[in-house]
Amino acid sequence: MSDPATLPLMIIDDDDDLRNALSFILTAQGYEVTAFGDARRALTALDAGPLPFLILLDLMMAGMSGWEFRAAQLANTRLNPIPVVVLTAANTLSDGVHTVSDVEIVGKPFALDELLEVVGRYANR
Amino acid sequence: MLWAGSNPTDRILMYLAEIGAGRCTITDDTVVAEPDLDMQQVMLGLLVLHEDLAYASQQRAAAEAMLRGVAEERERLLEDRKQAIQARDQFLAIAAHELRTPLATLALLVDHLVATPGPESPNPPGAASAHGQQLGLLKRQVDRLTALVVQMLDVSRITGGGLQLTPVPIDLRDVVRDVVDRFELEITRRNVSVTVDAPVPVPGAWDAGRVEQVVTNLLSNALKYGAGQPIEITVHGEPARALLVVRDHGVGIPEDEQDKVFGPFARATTARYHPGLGLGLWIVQQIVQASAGRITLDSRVEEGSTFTVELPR
Repeated sequence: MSDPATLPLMIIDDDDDLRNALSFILTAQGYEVTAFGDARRALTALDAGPLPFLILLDLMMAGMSGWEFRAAQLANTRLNPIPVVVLTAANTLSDGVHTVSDVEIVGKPFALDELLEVVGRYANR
Repeated sequence: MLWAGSNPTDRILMYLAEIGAGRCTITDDTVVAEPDLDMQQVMLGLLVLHEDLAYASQQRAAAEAMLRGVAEERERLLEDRKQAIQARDQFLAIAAHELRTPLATLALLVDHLVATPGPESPNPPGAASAHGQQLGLLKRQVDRLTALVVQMLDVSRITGGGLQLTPVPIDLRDVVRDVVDRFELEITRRNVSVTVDAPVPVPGAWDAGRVEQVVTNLLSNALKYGAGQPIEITVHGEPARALLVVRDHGVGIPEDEQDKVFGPFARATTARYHPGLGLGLWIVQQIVQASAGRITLDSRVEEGSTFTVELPR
C-alpha cells in the first residue's frame, strides 16, 4: 500500500469551481494534486514533468476535449499506462468521433465517498 | 352534320331527330329542333341531370380542395408537435446536463463539510451541534436536488432510446434491504413502520443500479402517498421470476386514474401538493419493461395502493 501523501494526482476539468473543490478536497486527503482547466496544457505538463498515478478527466471541455486528450495520451507510450477516471455529466461516452475506452466512469454528480473510494483504489494499486 | 362544337343540348336534339323522335333544322349557326312531346320530358330530365352533375362535380372539387387543406393542416400540426417534443427532450437533456456540474461541486463540498468538524465547533464530526444540523439540512437539500436532476436525466435517456441495462448477478432481497436502510432517516422522520418480508435470498440477473432505482421509487412513492400508515414490502422468488410487492395504506388512486399513474409527469390528483416531478412510476415502468418484466397496480381510494413488480430471472 502506498502513502497517498507521496502520490501525485492530476485533475483536468474546465469548470473552475468543480476543479477547485476537487483540488481542495483531494489535497486535504493527502494527495499531491496538480489541476488543469485546459487539457492541452495538462498534456504539455505531463510530457515534461513527473507522472501522476491517476488522471481525473472531464470529457466536455472547451479547447481540447477529454476525448481528444485521451486519444493523445494513448498515442504516447510514456503516458499511456497512466489510468484515467472520467468524471462526466454526459449521457454518452462518445463525442460522435471518439469514444473513451478502458477508463473508469464516475457520473456527475457524485458523492464524496464514491470519489474517495475510486481514487483510493488506484492509489493502493 | 355539325357535331363538333355543338353544346350538349344541341347534340341531343340532333340525335333525337336522327333517330326519328322529332324534327330538327340546322342552319349555319343555329339548331332549331322540335322533339316529340314524350322526348321533351326526357330532354328536361337529361338537362336537369346534366345541371346536377355539373353542380356535383363543382361541389366535389370544392370538397377535395378542403380535404387537401385539412390534410396539409394536419401535417403541419404533426410536424409542430414533433418539433415541440424534440425541443422538450433537448431542453431536458441540456438542463439535466448543465445542472450536474454545479451540483457535483455542491455535493462534494457539503459531503466534505459534513465529514470535517468546523474550526470553532467543539463537537466531533456528526455530533448534533447547530452547525452540524444545518449541514445535515444542506446535505438533504443537495440530495433532493441530485435526485431530481437524475430523474430529469433519466427522462432524456429513456425518450432518447438510451436506457441500456447491464444485467449482473444480484440478490433482490439485498437490494430491498439496502434501499430500506438508505431510507432509515426519512422513515424515522415520518414515523412510519416499514416491514420487509423476504425470508430467503432471491438471486437473478438484473441491472443492479436500475433495480435499486425501481425499489427506491416505489418506496419513495409509498412514503409520499402512504399517509403515515404502515408500508409492507414483500420479496419472493419463483423458478422463472422474482416478485416484489410494495403495499401502502394511504390515499390510494381512483380507478379512472390508475392507468395514468405510469405516464410521465403523472401525479395523484386525490393527494394535495406533493413534491417531485411525477416521473418516478414512469421511470419504474420503463425499467421494468426494459427488463422484460411487468408492473401491476391494485389500488382503492382511502385504502391504499399495492404495486407488484415481476422480473424474469
